[in-house]
Amino acid sequence: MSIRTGTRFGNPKRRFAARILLPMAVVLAGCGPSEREVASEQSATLARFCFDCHNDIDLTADLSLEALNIAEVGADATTWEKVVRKLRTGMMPPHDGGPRPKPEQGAALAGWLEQSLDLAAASAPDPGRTVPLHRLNRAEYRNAVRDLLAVDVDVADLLPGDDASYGFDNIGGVLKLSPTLLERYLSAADEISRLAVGSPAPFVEFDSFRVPDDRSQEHRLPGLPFGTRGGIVIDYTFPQDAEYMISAELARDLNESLPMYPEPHVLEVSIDRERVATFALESPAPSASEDGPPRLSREQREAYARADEGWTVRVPVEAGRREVTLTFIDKTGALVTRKREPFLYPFPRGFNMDEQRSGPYLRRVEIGGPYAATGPGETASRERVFACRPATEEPRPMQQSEGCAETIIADLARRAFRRPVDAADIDPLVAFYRGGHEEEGSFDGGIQVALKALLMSPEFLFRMEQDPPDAAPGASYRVSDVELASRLSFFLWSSIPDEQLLAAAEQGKLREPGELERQVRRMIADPRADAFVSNFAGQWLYLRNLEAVAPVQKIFPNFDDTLREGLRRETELFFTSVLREDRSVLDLLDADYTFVNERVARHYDMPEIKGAHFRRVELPPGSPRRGLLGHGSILTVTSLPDRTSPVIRGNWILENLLGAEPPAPPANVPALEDTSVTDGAGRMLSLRDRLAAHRANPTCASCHTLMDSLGFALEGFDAVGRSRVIDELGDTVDASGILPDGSSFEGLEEFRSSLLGSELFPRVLAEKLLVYAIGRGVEHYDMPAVRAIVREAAATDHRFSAYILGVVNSTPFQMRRAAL
Amino acid sequence: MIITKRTLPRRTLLKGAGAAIGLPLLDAMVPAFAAEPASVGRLGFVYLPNGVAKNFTGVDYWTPAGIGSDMQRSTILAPLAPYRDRLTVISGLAQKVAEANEEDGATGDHTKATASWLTGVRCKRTEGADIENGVSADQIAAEVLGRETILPSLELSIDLSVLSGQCDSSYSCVYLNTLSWSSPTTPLPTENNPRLVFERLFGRGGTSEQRAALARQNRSILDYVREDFGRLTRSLGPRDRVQVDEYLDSVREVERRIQAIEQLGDGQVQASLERPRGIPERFDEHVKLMYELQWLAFQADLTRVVTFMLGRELNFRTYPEIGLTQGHHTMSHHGEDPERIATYAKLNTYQTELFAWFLEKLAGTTEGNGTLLDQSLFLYGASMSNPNLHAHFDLPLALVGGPAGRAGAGRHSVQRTDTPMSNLLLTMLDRAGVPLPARLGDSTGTLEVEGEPLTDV
Repeated sequence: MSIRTGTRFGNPKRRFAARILLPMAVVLAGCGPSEREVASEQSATLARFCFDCHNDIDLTADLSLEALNIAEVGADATTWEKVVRKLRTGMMPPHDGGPRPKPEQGAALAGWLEQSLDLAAASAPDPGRTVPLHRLNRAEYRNAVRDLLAVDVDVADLLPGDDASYGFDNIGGVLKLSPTLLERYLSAADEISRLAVGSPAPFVEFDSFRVPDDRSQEHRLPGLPFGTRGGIVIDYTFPQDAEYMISAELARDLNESLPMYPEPHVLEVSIDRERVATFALESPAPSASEDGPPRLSREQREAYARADEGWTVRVPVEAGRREVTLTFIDKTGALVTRKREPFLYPFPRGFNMDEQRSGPYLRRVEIGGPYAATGPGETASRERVFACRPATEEPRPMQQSEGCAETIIADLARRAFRRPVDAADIDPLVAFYRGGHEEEGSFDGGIQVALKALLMSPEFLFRMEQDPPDAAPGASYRVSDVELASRLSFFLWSSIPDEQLLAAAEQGKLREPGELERQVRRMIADPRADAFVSNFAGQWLYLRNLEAVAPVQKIFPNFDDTLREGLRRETELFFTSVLREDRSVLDLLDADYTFVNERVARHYDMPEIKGAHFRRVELPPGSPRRGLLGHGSILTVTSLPDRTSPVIRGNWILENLLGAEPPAPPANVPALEDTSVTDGAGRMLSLRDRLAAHRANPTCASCHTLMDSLGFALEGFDAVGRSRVIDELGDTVDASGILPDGSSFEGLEEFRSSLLGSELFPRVLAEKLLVYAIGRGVEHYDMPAVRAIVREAAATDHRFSAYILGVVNSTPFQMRRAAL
Repeated sequence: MIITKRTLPRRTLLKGAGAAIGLPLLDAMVPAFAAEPASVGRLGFVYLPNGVAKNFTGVDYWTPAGIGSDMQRSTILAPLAPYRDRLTVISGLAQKVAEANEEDGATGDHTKATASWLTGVRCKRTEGADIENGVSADQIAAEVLGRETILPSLELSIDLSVLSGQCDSSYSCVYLNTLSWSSPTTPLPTENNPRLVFERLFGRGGTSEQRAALARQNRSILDYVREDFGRLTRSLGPRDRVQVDEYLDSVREVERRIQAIEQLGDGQVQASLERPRGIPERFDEHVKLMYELQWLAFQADLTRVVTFMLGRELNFRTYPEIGLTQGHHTMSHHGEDPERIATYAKLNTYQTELFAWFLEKLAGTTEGNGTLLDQSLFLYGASMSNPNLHAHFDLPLALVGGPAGRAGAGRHSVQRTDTPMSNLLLTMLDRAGVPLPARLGDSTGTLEVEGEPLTDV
C-alpha cells in the first residue's frame, strides 16, 4: 500500500481509514515500502519543496530543515510540529508562484511526519506543566459562589474582567492577582457572605437596570407573559424580608421629551409574576383656545413631561432571588396591524419626526432597599449554609453553638477548597466565626464573617496543583483524583465539583473503569454545562462580541437588541444540541436544522414562524443557513459596522475552523497596500479588486491568498447575516474562491463540503478544547495528544462526547510535569 | 431570557437618603497631608487609541503650525485653547521599540503601541505565563507619589476587555488592556465600571463606625490570606515562589491601603457624587463620569497618579452621537484619503473636548494658592501618529498642567526626529519630583527644547 493519507480536502472517511492503517504500514515491513524507503521519499519531498529557502545558508525565518535529521524527528519535535502545521494548513510552501507539492504529496509528507512524531512521543509523553496557582476567572468565581452558597451575583458589578490569551480568558499563566483585584475580592466576599446569610444590610443599596436603547418594545419579548408588550425581566436577589422601592422611567425622544399617544398605556410591575403595581400614562386632552384649534396648555405639557416622575412603588418582598417584571399591557390587538419591521428608532438623529411607536418604551428601572427589614427570611442560600442551628441563640459565642459552626464551616470549606479538609483548614475559619459572633452579636453574624474569610482563602480563589513530594524534577506524574475532579468541573461547568464528583474523587473511584466517562456524560447533561457553551463556544466562535457590535443604523435599520439576542440564542441552542444530543461535530459545519423564533426567522426570510419562543426547524439541502457559517451571529461579529469584511471572515475561518496561524507579516510589509486591504473602505475599486491587487504583492500573498478567498465564500450574507445577491457596491455577489490546496469553489455550498472533507476542523476543535480544558496554550509536545483525540473521535463518527472524553483522557489533562 | 445591563442613569430615580456615601472630608484631610507640600502633586496619562487624524503627506489635524511660542491652534487641540498657557505640544518623539523588527515581523503593532507607551519596552511576544514588558512611568511615579495616598495609582479605561479575537495574534490580550505595569511581569488591570472605581475610592458606604469595623475585619482576613498563602505554597519550587511573592506583595499593598484609610479617622462628609449605578451607555457620559471620578480622587487626594485609556487599540466602537458610524479602528485606517482623515479628526476633537471638560473642572477647583490643575501634569496623546501606517514616530503628544505652564507658555516643541518618547516620560517624572531611574525603557535622558531644558521652571 502507499503512504497516501488523502488530500486535505478529500473524502474524510477514506482519509481516516488510511491514517488508522498507517501504523501497520510502518510496523509491517515488507507489506509496502520499507520504513527507510518511506523516509527517503519524504526526505526528497522536503528537499525539493522546502530547502530552497530553509537551508543552511539562507536560513529563511531562521530555519534550516536541511540541518535536521529526518530519521530522528523526535529530537526536533518543536520544529517538525511547525512543519506539519504549515503543510496541513497549506501555509507552506508559500503561494508565491514557486513550486508546490501536489496535495497528496504534501499530505503524505505531513502524515509521515505526524506518525514519526507520535511514535517518538509515545515512549515518553510530556504532559506539560500547568501553573501551580490558577486563579478563577470572573465567570468561574460567579459559578463557584452560586454552587457553593446558592447566591447568584452579577460579577460585572463586583470584579474587573480577565485578560485572554490563546483566545480564552481562563489561561492560568495570565490570571494574576493585583492589589486592585484583591480589594475587589474583599468587597465581593463581604457582599456575597451577607447575601448568603441574610445579614442586616449596613446601608440601602440601589441598582439600576437599563433597557437597551435599541430594543424594540412593539411586541411581546421572549420571557415575558402573553398579552404584554416590551419591558424587562430582572432577576434580583432581595437580601432580606423587607420593603423595597421599585421605580420606572419611560424612554424619551431626541429632545428628551415624552411622546404622546392617542390611547392610555399601562405599565405593570410584578414580582414572581404577581402584580404589585400599575402605572398609567395618559395624554392630556387639548382644551379649546380662543384664537384657534384646541391645544395643550403649557401646564398640561409640563405635567405630561413629568408623567412618570412618581412611578415608584414601595412593596414588601420576601428575601431571595425573585423575578421582577416591568412590562406594558398590550393593546395592539385593537390597532391596525403594523407592517413595519420590528425596530423603530426613536431618535431619527437630526430630524424631528412624528412618533411612530405604538406606545411608550421603558427605559430604566431602579430597585432600592431594604427598608424596614424584618429578618433574613427563608432563602435557598440560608438553607444551603445552615446545615444545623445552635440549640440556643446567644449574643456571645458559646461552647455549645461552636459544634454547629464547625459543621457548617467544614462542610462549606470542603466544597470551596474542592478537597477533604482537616483541622488546620477549619480552625482559622472557626476563629473568624468566634470573632464575628462576638462583634455582630449573633450566630449568623459569626457564620457570615467565617464565610467571608472562606471566600478570601487562596484555595478558593485559586486552583492549586502541587507536585507530589516524591516527584523527581521534571518528571511526569498523574494529577491527584481531587485535582482531576476540579479539572473536570472547571472544564465542563466553569465551576467547582459537585458532591457526587468530589465524593468519587475523595473515595479514589474517579479513575475506576468507566467512572470518568460516566461522570463526563452526567456533567454534560447537567444544566451547569451551559457554562461550557457560553464560555467555550462563546469565545471560540466570538459570540461574546455580539454584545458590542453596533451595525450602522442607517444601513441596517432592522438590527436591534432583540435580534442580537435572538441570533446569539440560535447559535447557543444549536451548539448545545450538538453537544447534548451527542451529534457529530461536523454538524457544526453542516446541519439540517437550526433554531429560530419569529424575529430570527424573518431575518432569514423563513416564512410562517410565529412567536418569540425558539423552535427547531429543518433546513433543506442547499439552505444557506446550514451550520455555523450560516448563522447570523457569526456573520455579524465577523463584519464591520457598515459592510462585510472578507478579510475578517476569512481570518476567522482560518483561525477558528482551520487552525492555521497566518505567518507574521514581514517587517517591510508595504503599509499602504496593507491598510487599504485590512480596512479598505475605498470606494473606487470593488473590494475584490483591491484585495486582488494586494495579493499581487508576493509579500502579502502568503496570508491573503488564504484569508480573502475563504472570506469570499460568505459574501452571500451581508454584515448582519441576511442573505443577499447584491453587495454593498451594487455588484452581483461573487462567492467563489480558492482553497488552500489550490482547488476552487463556486459559492458557499461547495465551500462547506470542502470544509467537511478537511481534517483541519476536527483538529482545531480538539486543540481549542484542550487549551480551554487545561488553561494553557497547546505546545508542540501536546500535538500527539491532539492527534490521538481526533483519531479516536473519528472512529465514533466525530461524536462530540468523543472529543470531550478524548481531552479528559489525554496526557495533558490526566498528568502534569513536575517543576525543575 | 432577556439580558439586563446595569447602567448609569442620567438622573437617579430613587433618592436614597440613607445611601449617601461617606467621603473623606477634604478639609479634614488637609492636616494629614499638609506636612508635605506638594511639589507637583499629580501625574495623569490620557491615552488615545488607534492614533490621530494625520498622514505624512500634508494632512495633519493634530500638529500645531508654528514652532515654540508661535504655536497656532490645530483642529484637534483647539478645545485646549483656554489652557494655552499650560500647554506644551511636543512633536518628533518616537517609540522605536514598537516598530516592526526581524524577530516579530510586523505583527502586534497595536499591542506594542499600548505596551510600550509608558514603558519604552518591546513586550515579549507570547500568550503564556511568560508575559513580560517593562515597568511603566506611572508606576515609577506611584512608588513615590503614592506613598502618602490611599491608592498609589488608578488605572482606568472605557472599553470592555471581554471580547474575543480582538487582540493581535501571538500576543496575550493583557498587553492591549492596560498601560500600567508595576513590574515587568505584573500588569495592572484597568477598571471601566464607574461604580467599582467609586467604591475603590470611597468604599461602599455605611457609617464611620461601620467602616472602621470593616477595615479591622478586612485586615485580619488579609492576615489569614497571607498565612494561608505561606502554608499552602511552602513546598513550591523557587520559580513558582516568585509568583506567590508577587501575590504576597499585593496583600501587603492592600493592607497598607486599609491602614491609610483607618488613619483618616472621622472626617466624613456627604459625597458630591452619588455612588454610580453602572456603566453609562453613551461614550461621552461614560468618559465624563470617569473624569469626574479622577477629579474627585485628586481633590480628596486619594491618589496622585492616574492612567486613563479612552479605548483599547483595535476597538470597533462607533460614535453615532457625533455622526461617526464606522468602527474606530476602521476609521483610523483612513487610506491616506483626506476626506476620511477629516472624518477621523472629528473623533479626535471630540476626545479632546471631553479632556477639556475635565481640565475645566480641575482648573475650577482651588487648592492651596492655586488650582488642582496647577498641581497636576497630564500627558495627552497616542502611541501612533499616522494610524494608517501604524507609524510609531512623530507621535502626537501634549503636556498640560501647572508644570507645563511653568516650562513656558503655550509652546510647540519640535524634538530631533526619533528622540525616544521615554525621554519625555523621564522629564515628566522629573517635573513631579520623582527621583529618576537610570533608564526608562529606551530612554537616553530628559528632553531639552531649543537648548533649554523643557523641565526648567
